[in-house]
Amino acid sequence: MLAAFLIGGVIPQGESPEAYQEMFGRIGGDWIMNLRLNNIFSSFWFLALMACGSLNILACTIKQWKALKLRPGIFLSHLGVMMMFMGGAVHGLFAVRGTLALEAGQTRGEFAGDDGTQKAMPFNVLLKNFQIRYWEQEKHIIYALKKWEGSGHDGEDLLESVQVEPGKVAHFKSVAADLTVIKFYPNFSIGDSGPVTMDESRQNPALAVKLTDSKTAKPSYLFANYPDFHGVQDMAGIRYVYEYNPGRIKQFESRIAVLEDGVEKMEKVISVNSPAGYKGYRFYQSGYDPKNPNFSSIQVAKDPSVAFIYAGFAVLMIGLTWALWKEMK
Amino acid sequence: MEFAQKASFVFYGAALAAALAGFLFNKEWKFKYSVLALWAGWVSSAIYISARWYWAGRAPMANMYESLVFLVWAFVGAYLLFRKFSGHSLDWLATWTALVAVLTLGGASFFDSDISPLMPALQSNWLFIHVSTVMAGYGALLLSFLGAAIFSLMDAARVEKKKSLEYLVYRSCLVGFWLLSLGIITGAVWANSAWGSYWSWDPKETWSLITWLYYAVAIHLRRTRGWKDKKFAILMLWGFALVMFTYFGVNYLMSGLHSYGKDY
Repeated sequence: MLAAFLIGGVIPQGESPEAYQEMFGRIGGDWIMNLRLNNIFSSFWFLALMACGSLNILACTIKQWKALKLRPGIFLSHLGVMMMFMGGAVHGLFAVRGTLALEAGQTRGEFAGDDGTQKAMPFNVLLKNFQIRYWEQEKHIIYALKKWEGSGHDGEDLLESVQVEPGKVAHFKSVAADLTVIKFYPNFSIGDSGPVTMDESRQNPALAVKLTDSKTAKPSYLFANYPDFHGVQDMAGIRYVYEYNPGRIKQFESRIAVLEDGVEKMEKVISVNSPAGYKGYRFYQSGYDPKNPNFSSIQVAKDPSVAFIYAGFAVLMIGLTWALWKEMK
Repeated sequence: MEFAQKASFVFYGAALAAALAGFLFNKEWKFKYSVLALWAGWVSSAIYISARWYWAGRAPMANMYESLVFLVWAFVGAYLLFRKFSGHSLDWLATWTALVAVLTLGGASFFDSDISPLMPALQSNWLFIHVSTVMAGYGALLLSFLGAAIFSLMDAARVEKKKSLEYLVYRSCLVGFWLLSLGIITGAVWANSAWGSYWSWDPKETWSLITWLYYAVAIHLRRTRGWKDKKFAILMLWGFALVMFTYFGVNYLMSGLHSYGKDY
């Protein structure tokens, strides 16, 4: 078992054949796939090994019963491990897990199981809304830079940095200039009718800006990913460069409701570390789509093995504590 | 707050210096002042951890720096506890404990010590329960490793010292194993409440299980096959190599559910 754990601990699990060939070479990658070392922990031989391990502990416990009944701590700790093996078997036979992908306003009565099949639930789940809360919101900062003059070297001095907001005018005191920030493009691209944002992901953040004293009516564009590509330059040789600060996410929150025959039976806001439960099913906040602010990915689990496993944990710890106490005396 | 951290480093350094000066000038007091300085360092460290907890508004267990500081605190605490129950026969180990504490705190200073807000996955009371039990377990296993390393190098003629070391190596292994068990269990309970799965065979979980099994086998070998003294010491040396890999190696060499360990 230790050897199996080591193999599974060294070889990354669940990767594609190409990824293994890249990591271990063509021959090594092929061997990993042929021996099914890419998914050790769900392979038949590993599960058989775990079953043998459980039987081994059981046999040892029976064989050593005379000695063990005088050492309840050691007996309980082994019993705890056996209960966990039993929990593992229950998990393998009866647990259901998968992902419920929803957009705000959408209702579903089934989810995509981890085994690739659709799993039906005896009720529907409605995503009322999804929101991301931030420790600090995203920021748009524009730097005013001036090229060195007469030094014989290339370089720029930072004159000022101003935090700006789309739709507002930013004032740069040091150069006595105003810059109107017309629009924010989260993922800038050129469409049929001009500049557009592809989606809400912040892959290519850009700002449409206009210098107040500029004679041209067309806006200029500042790109956070390409500060040297499109710096707006004013008459005095000041260059403006845009920095996008994505902010720091505090929490993902989905407000979900459970519906039975169209009647709302439960409503709860779930977030990471704060799931909801209904009729044995548990709902966990698990993902989001940066391109779609209304999308939420919810992990669904129905696992009757949890009770066995937790009971095993408790018995193991009681046993270990008892044994430790006796040993330390 | 930073003052308490610097004070703990200085006190651990003073513990080392006191013992070395005592050896150099052959003074009786060498271990007395060394142990006293270790106590002062441990208390300063406790103040620092508490203050950081207060200022951050969360348990200071969210990154490599914070976990290392807690590991040193647990390690020194484990030594002071064992010293108390060993009738002062382990006073001489204060020098080595101080050396490991100074080196580990020095190593911790290479990591980012800024207090930053927690990512969603870490916003749970389980953060403190899980990380503190695992780190306290690592602290006890580090003490077992230290004792085993000295035991392996010690002259066979030093019977009394070897006896006290043997006591320390085995019992700190037992305490470390108990805490590691609790740490893995609390991690599983937390994982079930955060992700809906108590075990995902993620690299950190797998290597924690390997480490746990290794120590379980070592304890069984000692109890049923009589692997004591040098044999058990060697087991503890290799065991701590596994602990180090689980703690550092997995964070930096593998990606998985615990990958934030290297970022924070």
